[in-house]
Amino acid sequence: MASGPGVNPESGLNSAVRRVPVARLEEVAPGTMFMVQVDGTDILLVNLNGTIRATQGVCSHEYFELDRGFLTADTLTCALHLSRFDLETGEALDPPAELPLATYPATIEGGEIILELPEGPIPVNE
Amino acid sequence: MTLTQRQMVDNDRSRFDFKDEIVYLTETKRGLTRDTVEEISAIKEEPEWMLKFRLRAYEHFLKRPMPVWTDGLDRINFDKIMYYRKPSEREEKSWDDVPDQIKATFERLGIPEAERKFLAGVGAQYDSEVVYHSVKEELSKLGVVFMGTDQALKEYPDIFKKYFATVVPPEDNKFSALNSAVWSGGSFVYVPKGVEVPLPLQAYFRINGENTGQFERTLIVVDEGAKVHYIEGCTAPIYATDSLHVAVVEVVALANSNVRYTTIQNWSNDVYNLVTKRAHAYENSRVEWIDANTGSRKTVKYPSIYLRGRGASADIISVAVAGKGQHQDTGAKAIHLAPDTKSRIVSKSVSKDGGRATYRGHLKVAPGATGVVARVRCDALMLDDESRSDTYPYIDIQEDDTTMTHEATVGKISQDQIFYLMSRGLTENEAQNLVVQGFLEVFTKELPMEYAIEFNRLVKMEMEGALG
Amino acid sequence: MADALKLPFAGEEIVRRVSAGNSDPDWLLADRLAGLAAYTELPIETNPLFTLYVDLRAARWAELDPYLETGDAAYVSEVVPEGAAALIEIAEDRVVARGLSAEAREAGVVLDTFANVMRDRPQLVKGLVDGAAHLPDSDKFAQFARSHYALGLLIHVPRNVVLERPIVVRWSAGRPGRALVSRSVIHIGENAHARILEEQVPSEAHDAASEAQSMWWGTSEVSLDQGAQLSFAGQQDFGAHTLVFINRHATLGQDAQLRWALASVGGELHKSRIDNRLVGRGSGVNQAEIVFGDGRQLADLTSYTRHIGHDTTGDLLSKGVFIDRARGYFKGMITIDRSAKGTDSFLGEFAMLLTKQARSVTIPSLEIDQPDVRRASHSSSVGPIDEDEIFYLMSRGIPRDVARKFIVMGFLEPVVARIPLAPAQDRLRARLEEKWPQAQASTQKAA
Repeated sequence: MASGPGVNPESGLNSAVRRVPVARLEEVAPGTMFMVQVDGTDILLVNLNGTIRATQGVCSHEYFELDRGFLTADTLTCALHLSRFDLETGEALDPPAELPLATYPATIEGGEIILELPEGPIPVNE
Repeated sequence: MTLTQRQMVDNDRSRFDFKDEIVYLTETKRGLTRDTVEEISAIKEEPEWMLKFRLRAYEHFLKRPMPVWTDGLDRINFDKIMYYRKPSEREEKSWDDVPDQIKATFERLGIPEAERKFLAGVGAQYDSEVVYHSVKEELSKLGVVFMGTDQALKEYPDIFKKYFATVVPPEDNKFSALNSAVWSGGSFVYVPKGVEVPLPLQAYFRINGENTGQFERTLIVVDEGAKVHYIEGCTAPIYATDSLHVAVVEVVALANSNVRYTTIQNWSNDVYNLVTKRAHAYENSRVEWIDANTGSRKTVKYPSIYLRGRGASADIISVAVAGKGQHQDTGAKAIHLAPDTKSRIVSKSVSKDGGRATYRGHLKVAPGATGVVARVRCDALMLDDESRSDTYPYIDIQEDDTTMTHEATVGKISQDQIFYLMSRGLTENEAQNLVVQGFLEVFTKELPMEYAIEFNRLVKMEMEGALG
Repeated sequence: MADALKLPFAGEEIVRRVSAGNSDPDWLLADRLAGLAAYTELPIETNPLFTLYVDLRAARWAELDPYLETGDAAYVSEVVPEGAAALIEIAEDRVVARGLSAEAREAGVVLDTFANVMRDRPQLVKGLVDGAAHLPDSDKFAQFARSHYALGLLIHVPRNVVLERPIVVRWSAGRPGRALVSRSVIHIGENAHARILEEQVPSEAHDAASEAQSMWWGTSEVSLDQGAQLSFAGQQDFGAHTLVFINRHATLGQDAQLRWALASVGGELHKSRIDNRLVGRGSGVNQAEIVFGDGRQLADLTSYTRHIGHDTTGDLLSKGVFIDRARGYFKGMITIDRSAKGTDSFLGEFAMLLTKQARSVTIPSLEIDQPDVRRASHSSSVGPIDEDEIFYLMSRGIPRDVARKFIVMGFLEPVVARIPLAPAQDRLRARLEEKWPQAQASTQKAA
């Protein structure tokens, strides 16, 4: 199970981490979502009152793009079956989803949104 | 995108004159394979994206298990079904083959001769040109688009692609996946900003052989400030080929718009009627589902509204009459995703002679949806102890200022009421019928007059057991 | 759903050990093994309506070590408290108090562990326990208790005995890392009347500062003979890190009447299921449950009421108040069999959410096969405290925050009032009021 970048799920060891700029801050207005791709993997960016949260881009329950879903307070509701996730921890709050969304630390530097991702495949829960 | 003045119904059937070089359907013409899906798309000459969409949906249909929370669906044999019929290949039944009982029903409901033949599957075409012509003109003056979904894909690709499958994605459930793979027919409606369509749009207006197709797909987009009432179905029993009707209806109600969608369906008693119908309601819009389910062997349908914009409101009035051998598994869903939204759900069901009426409701208030007022009322009338009534509401409230109330009752007709009416000279049957009509009145009063009359006649016939 | 409830402390070896430790007769071991087989086979939730609403994520099973052996403490008090007919008290794994008033003793009331009762009256135990007729056979949690219980309690009130004062059963638990799996079998004979007060509180070994979990798992297996009447009041007030699993099951004979008044105040996770089987003509159940959830408490209250005989009555009420991030799931199912003519059934589920993150899910379901009902309805509402009511009280000169508290306490009062012993009632009221300042602090609305 994925749990944050840089942690190898198998060995639990910290492997190398890379910092990837994925978008400009102005592309993700407060209260909106924006989907980006890194190495072909969908990643969802959400601007919650100025803080950027980044999670895997597809639902952990059924393959479905989360940017088609709804922002409900500080949580994200998938449009497909209304699973709901905490955007900070990725925790699944409402069924049918049980697995959390993988989350990736995001920082803003010089107007750019930078994600901390592990080297190698990007962890996604499904 | 400009809306040009076009014929609303394309009676030009030349597009269906298939050249022989076009791929043939497989020999048996039954069963569903990847090839079938490709052939359907090819015959319709669809753009690449739609073929890809169908194939993705088909893959999902295969891997999705059959729902277990409602029974009997495993009796559907997907291999026996013909998934596409070219209109020119439509079997022409003979009027003699139509069961007497169906003929009698038409008689009693006062359906005109020409319509009867069409509804019975006799004759691929019902020419409603005469009625339709003047309506067409009025609509085109307003810029309203009302045509078959297949045609809309070709003629209004931008708006079509923008909204198609955004309200009901193929992955929603097994049957939306099936419909997405093999859909054909259905209506497309677009109402431009600020336009109030002065008369109800009826599916009738565009009848052709494909209209009552098994896998119809309807998309209605009502732009900001616009208003429309769409009516589908009719009270006469409808044959569905292969006894399976799997439809998807999507409604997009943009800000400040007003949409009412009325359905009266009376499928013949061997049909599985499985419909996914959902609306997205934006700021201050209002969506109403007025839904009647009679007939069919089993109907599974939960009209839903996602209240996405602040101030949107939802109104769902659903009635179901379950007679002998029937299971009406219906309900409603109101999902509040934005503040100050309101919903009202009223469900009335009648079950008799061993029929089974089930209400399934889902009411959800998501965080952030403050100030929600939601009311649900579901009442079930059971006329005898052969019948069954179930109520399964789900109420999930995640905001602390929601006001939600839910009431449900189940009962039988009050004997006192019956005796009173009989003492006024009605027969027991007539008395029962009157009470049932009163019970359903919250629904019937929302119908245009001619439909209300027909519907009441239909209920009367159900009560008498005249519809087997 | 992670369907297999993989409890590390379950399994045949454990069942046999516990059985041997209790000196079970053969039939009882066989019954445990039958329960084990059922437990192993069953999914967590058999009802497809409810499968999505089972949330056991808070449970850290690996940290829990159930008691395999139970018995009397070195010293067992025989004092019966003022106002009670009988008392049994179990602290962790030991019986620390056991006493019958003169009245109860003369009447032949039995209040003791299976093992003790088995010495003199084996048939009494066997009749009530063998085959687990008073537990739902499709419930995995009930079958776990059936097979793995370390302490069985038997309460028997013989026919025609009318006990004026309540029988008190007190459980204390909460030693970090420990768990008690128990069963309580309750039999009220023909035309007998009794009241039972079940109190569940933190034990002395409980460490409020520790985050380690503990667990209490138990049942109430009730059979009411013809004309029997039982009032059962239960107060669950365990520590904040105790996991609580309860199955209550009642079978009612002709004209039998049962009143449940159940309050859930403590625990980290409280999952209970109540099954009422109204078999006998004219039988009736009146059930009221309240929960006041705070912190991250989760209350999962399931209730099945089945009307089988003629003219039965079911009056069920669940009420919850939730603050902080607490959640309540109310899953009700009323079934009216075709045989159940003249049923009167009402189910009400009402929740008050007092903070933004509190949440309630209510699923009040009905399955009806018989239209000849006197009444079959349910009602559910969720909302904040009614502004009109607040205004009314304020117009009487009561400050707003006090008014809100009155209303919430009033909302929960129906169950509090039914606790049959004044000190216990007071204690519950006090506990509920204790939660109120937290409600004040965490409520977002203008106070």
